[in-house]
Amino acid sequence: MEREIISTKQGTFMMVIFVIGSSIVLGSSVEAKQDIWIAIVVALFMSLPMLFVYSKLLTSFPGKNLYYILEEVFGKVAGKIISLLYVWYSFHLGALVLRNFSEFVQVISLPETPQTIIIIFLGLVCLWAAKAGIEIIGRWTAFIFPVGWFVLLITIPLSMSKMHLINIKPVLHNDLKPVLSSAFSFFTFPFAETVIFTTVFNTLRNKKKTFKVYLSGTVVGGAIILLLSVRNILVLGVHITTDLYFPSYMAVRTLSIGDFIQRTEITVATFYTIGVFIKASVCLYAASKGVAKILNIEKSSQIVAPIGFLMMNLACIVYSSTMEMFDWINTYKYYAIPFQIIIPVITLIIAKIKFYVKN
Amino acid sequence: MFNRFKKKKSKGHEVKQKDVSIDYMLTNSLQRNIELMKEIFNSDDTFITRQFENMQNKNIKGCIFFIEGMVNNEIINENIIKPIVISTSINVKNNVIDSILQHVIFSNSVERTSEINKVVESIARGDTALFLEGSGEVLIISAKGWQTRAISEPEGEKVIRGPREGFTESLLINLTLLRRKLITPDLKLNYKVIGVKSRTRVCICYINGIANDKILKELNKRLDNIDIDGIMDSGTISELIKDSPLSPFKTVGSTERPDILAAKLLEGRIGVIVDGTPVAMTVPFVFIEYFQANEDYYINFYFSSISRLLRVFCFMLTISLPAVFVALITFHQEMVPTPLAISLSAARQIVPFPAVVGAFLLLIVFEILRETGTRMPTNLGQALGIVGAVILGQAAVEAKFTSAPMVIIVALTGISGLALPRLKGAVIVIRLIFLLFASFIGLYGFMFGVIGLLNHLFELRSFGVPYMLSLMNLDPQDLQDTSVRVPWMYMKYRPKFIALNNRIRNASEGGKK
Amino acid sequence: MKHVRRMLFSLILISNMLLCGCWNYHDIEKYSLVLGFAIDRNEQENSYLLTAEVLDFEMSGKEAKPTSKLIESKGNSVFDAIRNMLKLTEKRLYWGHADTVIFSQDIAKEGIIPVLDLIFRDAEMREEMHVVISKEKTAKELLEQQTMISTLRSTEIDRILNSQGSLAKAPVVEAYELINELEGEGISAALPAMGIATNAGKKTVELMGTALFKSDKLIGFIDSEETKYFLFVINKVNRGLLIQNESPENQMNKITLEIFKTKTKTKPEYYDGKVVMDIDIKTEVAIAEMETSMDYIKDVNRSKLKKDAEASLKSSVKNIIKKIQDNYDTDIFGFGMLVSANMPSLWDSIGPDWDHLFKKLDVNVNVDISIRNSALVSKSIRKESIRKEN
Repeated sequence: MEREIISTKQGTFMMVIFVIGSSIVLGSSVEAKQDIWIAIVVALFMSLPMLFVYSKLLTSFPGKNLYYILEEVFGKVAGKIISLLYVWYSFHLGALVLRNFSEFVQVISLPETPQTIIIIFLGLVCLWAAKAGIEIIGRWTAFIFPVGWFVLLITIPLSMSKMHLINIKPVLHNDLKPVLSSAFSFFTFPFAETVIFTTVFNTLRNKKKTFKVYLSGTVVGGAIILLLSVRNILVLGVHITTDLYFPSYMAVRTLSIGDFIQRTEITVATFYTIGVFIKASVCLYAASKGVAKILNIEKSSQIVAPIGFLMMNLACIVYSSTMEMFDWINTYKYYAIPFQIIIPVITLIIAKIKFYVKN
Repeated sequence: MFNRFKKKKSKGHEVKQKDVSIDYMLTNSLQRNIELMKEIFNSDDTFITRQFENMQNKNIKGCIFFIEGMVNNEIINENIIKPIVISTSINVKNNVIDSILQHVIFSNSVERTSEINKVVESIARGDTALFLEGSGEVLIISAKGWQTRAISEPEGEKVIRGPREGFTESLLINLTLLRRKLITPDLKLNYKVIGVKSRTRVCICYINGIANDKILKELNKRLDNIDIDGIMDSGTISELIKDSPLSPFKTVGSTERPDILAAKLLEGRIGVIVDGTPVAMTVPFVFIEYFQANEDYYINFYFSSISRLLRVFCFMLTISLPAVFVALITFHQEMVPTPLAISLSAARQIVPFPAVVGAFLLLIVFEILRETGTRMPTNLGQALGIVGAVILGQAAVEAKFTSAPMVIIVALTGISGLALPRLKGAVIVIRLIFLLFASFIGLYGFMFGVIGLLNHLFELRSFGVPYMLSLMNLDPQDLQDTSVRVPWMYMKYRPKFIALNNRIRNASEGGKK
Repeated sequence: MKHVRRMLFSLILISNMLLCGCWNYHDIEKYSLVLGFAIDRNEQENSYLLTAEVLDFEMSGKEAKPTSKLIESKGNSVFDAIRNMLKLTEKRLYWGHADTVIFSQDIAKEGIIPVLDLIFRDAEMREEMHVVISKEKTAKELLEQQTMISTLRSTEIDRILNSQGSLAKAPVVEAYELINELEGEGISAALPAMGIATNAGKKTVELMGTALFKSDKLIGFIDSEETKYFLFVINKVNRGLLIQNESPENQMNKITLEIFKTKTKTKPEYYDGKVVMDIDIKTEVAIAEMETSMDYIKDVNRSKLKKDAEASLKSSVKNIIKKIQDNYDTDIFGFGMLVSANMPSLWDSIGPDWDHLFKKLDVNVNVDISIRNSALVSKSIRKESIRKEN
């Protein structure tokens, strides 16, 4: 089997789309209200050290992914157990992403269609992409990113006439606590979710640029989320933005230029579809890499299909209602701590100690 | 994804040709040999046997075999039979066959052989075999001569500006046409024979130093793996060597124009010319080549860039228009602006078929019209147009079989499909799949269709070269000859993904500096 | 065997989708498009009366001409009323194209939040719908009147509201903006009001100023002219006219100024325990009509005109603010919101008391009008005798 290789550009774009993937429409972390932009900036700064940890892990073991690193650091058995945790994390995350999308579609436009159908359709294309490998996902992102980015951001100048600057005032008047709490939500979802890339970025062509890819991907993704959140608040106002499940969708919905450009919310839905597709594919790919490593299967593409179908199943049963889904988004930030912070940091420390002892 | 449907070659099922050398052996007796040849070519009335002997030395007896119509009679009469019959200088003492070869026959291409297989094949190819009394060896003299079509402009690839010659069915003429464009010893031409019964000659052409060796090796391997009885057109070969056999997209290019072939060779691609067909193949073939026409390189670059963008746009239109339209009017009515929604609703009152069925039916009608048009004598075309436009279009709307917007959509779909004739097979399939998906879950189904299509395109490779490569990394150098064409002045390099070394193709500075 | 299995699998998959598929598939002609609707309250039955204007087609020969029909239905909730319409029509109604919703005064007085909820919550109804208050007894009356140009009543109401850009006599409010105002602090809603008028013998619908809300309850109306100055304060004037009397004594000769660009900046200031609103209006106008023989294009007269116009605009704006403060006591200008945005800590202390403070709020109005041009003509039309005088 030829080794898979993705370029720096592809890696960066993949990261950007991964980061904005499902956060683009979900109205999470409402505590910060009009200071949400501060929360996002803070979250970006909070995530910088973690990004450094992730990339340091990868560069300490060039060409190896997280599962190899865990076995190397913790030994065979413990390493496999921790790998299993990460398999679960990415598997579960993929299922959540699929479910978010199907909820979105059902709420927004296809109330009578069973969510299972939407999950199957989306799951199948993700499965196809993950089976074809990370190179295909990389090519995908490099192809779609310039278009998507343009379509996504063009709505900002178009809705300029509906923006009211007063909506984001007063700045930081409320307590700092809700802002920090929001910032932490943004940190866990989506910025530190990039921990999944530690299982993927061993395929980067230029290993030295791992941190650069991590940094630029997250910063560009964060900037897009920032722009869109500010857009939402400016157009819709704080109250509506916090009331809505999918504020971005609504903000674009109100956009109309003359009689001609109106009802353009499909652009948001389109980009969300692509974002979800990339994110779920990466998760599925990461999960099957892990399973392959644990079970010592040489070709991870062989087990993509069963894991993918399981993921679709989980997506179908993971929530019973939309409300539950949004409740979980608030719980998620605590659930994600071990995966995003504790294990990577411990792994890096032990790895460094081992290096030190060896030399 | 389609790769896994590829069948593994089952052993023990090989197409075999009869090996004549097992049953027949050449002897020294001319009479025996004649009988033998007649037996091999029995019940072939075009097989001509002509015996003769020298005027002076009756011991020098000979016989030629050839196939009627495939030889040049003048050469045989004047340069083979006449010299042997009237020659006085044949040295009988030594080897007769040597002497005849050296001193008698006037021909630039004579081969000596004693293998019966070779003799039989050469005769079948149009050569003339000369048997001599007392010799187990045969002289194969090239005296081919048959009628070929004149060189003319290919119907399918007409240009307004550019050379007007096209390949013909004769391999040799085609090679001449190619050679005249690339006068360099680096142009390498290798013969291969494919087809157990047809014994079709194919010629692999490439430019040494530019073409990628890996691709060349892979091509040779795939050509050698072909095991089939006959090749009638390069299309068969191209299907047999393409990367994922079930994909609607082709991964082997085709052209009837020597200038295109030469240009592709200069880019580092490898060409395959097949005897008996005017269509040459090029590998590797990437997606963007569907949208490139040779004329693009000869005419104003603004115009050619606009034409290319139009072709890309047409491709998108023709695959997605029916699906998007059906999705909009059946799932996402809120996305249609109100005045348009009102007029669409007005047009669709009392139309009996659901929109998606109507779309399917009309698309099929369009394909019927197109298919009839291609198989019909040209002078009936006008009648077809009237039937199609007036009867099927207008009357169907008036009779409320379908709505006028739907006719417009399908017509637009069809017309934009015609802008890309080489893609039509793929386009029909994709269009129908998209329409099907869109009728399940609206625009989301359509989007999943697009994602699937792109998945497939990204996954596809043509001889190891990713199909969508030049479109994927936003390298200005790679993009300069894709959906736009930059002026020649700036096209300094060959495509990176094909020509690995020797990349500079153009160092001219432009008119005024 | 493997292939057969594969084909069977995909066959089952495809037929599954085909057979039970197309859940949301609805052909557009199977729907009746709702163009606009009116909501009334039935006090006795404690139910809602919903009147929807739906698209209908008149078949004239081969062509289907769009016209409209009204459907009425009752229900205990708005959604109930909507669904009850299926008792009357064969086609399902489609609400994604409804541009206008009209509330009756009764509903507006009771509070509009309950009825707004459905518009906001439902995925089919669009949040950029225009909200109108009926000045008549019921809301459905408006939909029953004749149209002027369009054949569709609601569409015409929608167009009237959209063209307010060059008239500036009604606040154009979309549903989501209304919700934001209702939920926000320190701002009250103001909606366009419409009533029945007689035009050339036909009874039709006309814009009649603004309906004022306190919290979500209707408390009164102001007329079109006052609305214009109200719009000046909230910086919603795009184009429009300013009519200027030549002098206070001469009410006959008027000069009409057309607004081309206007911008209002409102800033709250805090001096010795009192909040003062500074309103800066900067307007660019052109002389559009002069009914006078005086040459106002001349430099001297022009600056007089400018001064007069500034003075009268200033007094009109002050008057409307005063009127609202005295008669209605509802902060439709959003002064409170400005305070809370710009002086959040001050707002924390005075916010709860704002209703009381608003009544006594001091307002400074500064108007700056610049006259840009005088259209095609450089002088006024005048008799020979007057020309000599000048």
